[in-house]
Amino acid sequence: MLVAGTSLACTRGGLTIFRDVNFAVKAGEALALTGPNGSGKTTLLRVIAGLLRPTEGAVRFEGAGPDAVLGEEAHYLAHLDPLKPSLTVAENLTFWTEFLGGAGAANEALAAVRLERLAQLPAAYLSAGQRRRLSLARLRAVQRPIWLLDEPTAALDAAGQVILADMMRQHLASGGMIIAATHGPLGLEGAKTLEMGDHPPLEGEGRRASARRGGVKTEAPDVTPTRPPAAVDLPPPEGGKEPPNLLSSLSAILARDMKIAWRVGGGALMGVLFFLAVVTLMPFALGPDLGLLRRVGPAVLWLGALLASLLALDRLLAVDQEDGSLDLIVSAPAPFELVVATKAIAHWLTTGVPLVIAAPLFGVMLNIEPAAIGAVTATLLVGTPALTFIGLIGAALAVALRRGGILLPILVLPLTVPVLIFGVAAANAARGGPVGFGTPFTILCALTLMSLVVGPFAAAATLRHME
Amino acid sequence: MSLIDLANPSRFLALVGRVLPWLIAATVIAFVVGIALAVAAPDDYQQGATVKIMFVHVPAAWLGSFIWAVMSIAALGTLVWRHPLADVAAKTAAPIGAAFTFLCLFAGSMWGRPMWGTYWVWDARLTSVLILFLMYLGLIALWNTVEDPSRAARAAAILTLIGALNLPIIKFSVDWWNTLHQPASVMRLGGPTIHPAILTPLLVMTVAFTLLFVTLHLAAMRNEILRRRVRTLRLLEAHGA
Repeated sequence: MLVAGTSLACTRGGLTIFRDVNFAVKAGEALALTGPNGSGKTTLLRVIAGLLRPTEGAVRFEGAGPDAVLGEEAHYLAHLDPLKPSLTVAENLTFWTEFLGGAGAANEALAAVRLERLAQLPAAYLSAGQRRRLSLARLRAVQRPIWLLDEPTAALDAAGQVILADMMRQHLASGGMIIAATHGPLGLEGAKTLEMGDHPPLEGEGRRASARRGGVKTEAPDVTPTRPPAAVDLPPPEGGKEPPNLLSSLSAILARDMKIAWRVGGGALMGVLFFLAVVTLMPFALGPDLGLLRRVGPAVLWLGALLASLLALDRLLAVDQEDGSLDLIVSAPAPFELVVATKAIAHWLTTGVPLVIAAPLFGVMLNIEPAAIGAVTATLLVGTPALTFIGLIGAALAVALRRGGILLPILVLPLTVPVLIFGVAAANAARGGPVGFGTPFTILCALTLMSLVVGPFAAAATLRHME
Repeated sequence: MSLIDLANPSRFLALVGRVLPWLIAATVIAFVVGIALAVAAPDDYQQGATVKIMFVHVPAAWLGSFIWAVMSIAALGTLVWRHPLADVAAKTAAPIGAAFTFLCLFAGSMWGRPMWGTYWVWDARLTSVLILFLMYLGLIALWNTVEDPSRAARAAAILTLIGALNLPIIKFSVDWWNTLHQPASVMRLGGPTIHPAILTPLLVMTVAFTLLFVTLHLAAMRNEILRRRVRTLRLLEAHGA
């Protein structure tokens, strides 16, 4: 196993972050990336993880088999801890092990980082150091041969650093590989060091991007701080990692997203509340004339559902991006398009279905006749998935541009026009008219099926190329 | 025992423990008497037996506004006096208020079906109550957005007071909107004169509903205090570990 970078360079926003970086790491070796803040340590790690593309040069990987992909053999421990505050410690870890593989090792990993007593506690209660430990448990449980660690010791106390050092030593002994960005000593004997950015980048002439060279030099045995003898007796990682099953990966993400939506701060029913508010406001604008309300009722319900389904969309992907989960999800073995589609399905089940269920009640309030209420509900049941999957594209764009919120509806609303047209047309056709119910309803079904296909691919493509 | 003594949650819990059985008994008696009187009350010559829906509808409507007033006092307690139990009172009152408001709407729409021929009419009173219901739901949503109740307390208190300020304005606007669009053709419940045969059960039912609210509210406050203790214990466990 070999990971090697040759004359790597990375430019972002016209500023050269590093260039001419060379390194080679073999199985059982560790490479420490050092250098001042802003010298590109994190960027280099992200390039190696495949999350960024280098401007020049390439990362070469020779894995166990000919099809081995670096991103799937590596696990990236980023600055941020990808935890959901409303899920318990155990749920957070189990999600990642189910999604990335290694589900059997979750309990053992939790014990190894001394968090087993907090397993049932929501992650919101954890301190920064405990969150970091939970990330270490994830790193240990998913059992990837290549560890990419970004400031792994950050926020860890002395005992935590001992746990980390033992984990790393054991990982190297069992033929693993570690590339770590660090400011302090890692506590590993014989680690190679790559000194990044000889010149501090942001001083006066930084923009000239004078050749900042990095070269590997083997370090004299690491200055190991006097530390207590290893208190933790870690069993070696289980031999042979279990590959994650695609179905269990997808069901893990479906279950997680639905759980989060229903817990504190999830906002699964916010959409229905908004829908009710919109429906309530309509008569104030139109007047309480029941005949008029009955006539425009299906249109009001469709508009209300459309706006309500946009409401929660910006959280669909942004939450995962903000806490760093998205980086792990993108580089996971599971096809990203399927993962994104699963997230959209979870979103529809928690926000779209409640709208469909509420629609008949709101229909009664607008005095719509029973046949038309049935038709509106049917069209919403068929049409709201299209709204979610079209919205998925907007959510991905908003995340890629780092601008959620107000941009999203502006991007998405024009795309939903056909769905609105045929949804309302079918609902109105049910009460008689020149066009039958079948024609617009079938077109609505076709629109939904199309968005089910196009949405995930467009969203995945958008997210893959965000940098 | 003054209000300050009640600031100690343990004392409050002890008091609730002593008072609650009596309150439950009083509520049951009031409901038995009220329902008996309501059943015995004569039917309206126009509305028939449906007039009895009023015995649920009117007390529920009264509680819908009364509970918002209770929450407003609790909000002042949170913002001005910093009373430790104020936000517990405010938080636990909101779902009960929403439930009674919903009951009022439901009873109103059941009454409207035979009277108006439809379940829902955008009548000024019903619409005002619907907006009150929406505001309750918004408040509950606000409480449920934040995990730590002490952080949500101030935001919820401000929203409650703004709501208290706005509710009369909303009521006035809705009345104005409604008369603008249609003359008062819809028959209104309760005129200037209500026959004593209907008024007495109505008053008893109102007392019964209010007692029910007080009972539910005290029990809910007790539960919330205990829930917060569990939360604190778990936090202590986490950071003592």
